[in-house]
Amino acid sequence: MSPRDTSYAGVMARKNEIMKVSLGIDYDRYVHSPVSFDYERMMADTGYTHAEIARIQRETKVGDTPLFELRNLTNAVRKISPPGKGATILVKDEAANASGSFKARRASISAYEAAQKGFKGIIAATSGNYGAAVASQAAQRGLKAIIIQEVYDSRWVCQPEIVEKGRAC
Amino acid sequence: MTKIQAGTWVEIEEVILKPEQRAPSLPEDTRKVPYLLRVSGFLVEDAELCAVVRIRTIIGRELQGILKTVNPGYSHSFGTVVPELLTIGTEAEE
Repeated sequence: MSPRDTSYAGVMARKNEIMKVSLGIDYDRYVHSPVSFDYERMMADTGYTHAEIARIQRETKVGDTPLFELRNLTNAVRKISPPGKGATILVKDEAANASGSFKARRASISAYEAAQKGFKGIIAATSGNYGAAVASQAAQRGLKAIIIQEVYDSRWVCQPEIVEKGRAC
Repeated sequence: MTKIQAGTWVEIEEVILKPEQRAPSLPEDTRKVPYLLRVSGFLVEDAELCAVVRIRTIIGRELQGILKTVNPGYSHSFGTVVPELLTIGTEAEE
């Protein structure tokens, strides 16, 4: 086997091939047209049903987040809306997931799959919430985690929400 | 310079990519600076600041880099109040 080109250009040239091998899913199979694809068929090929996902997520404090009506905001909008307009504004409180964001949803399945396949740990490159989610889900599944996070710029300036997720990891 | 004792929680720095190795797709000002990695872990042997040292991370990886910080922490500020935002709710009530 000839040595692989590991330069930036070399890896980027193999990007599609790498994605197909690592995902085990070829998106081209589901494409109808440049603007549509067969969602149902793609989801059937992932190997998980909706009920299984819900069960897996319940095991690690993910999902079933509360839905709240924002009455003040709804009333404020109706004050300036024509009669009959001004929809009820609801918020799905995704901060109630383990690690504090909706990113726990995808991390939960990755961590479950990694544990099922017998991997020692998982790794993620992230700008914040996904890393915190992976670290939290890995810990709950007894896996090690390496999180690569861009926290600071070259003058060591950071954004509060990003540095907070760095701390959480 | 004082010795930092083995076992102390520290942060090291390592250059992952020199400016000339960075991706051509990056903005120009990003490409001018090296890509730095900072990792925290327990110091393996006694050392002084700025020395090349080895650390053991919380999951047991051993890494080498320049000793930058002892007992590293995180801090940030949310800045001052934005006065323009304060009257948004009360304006609507008038």
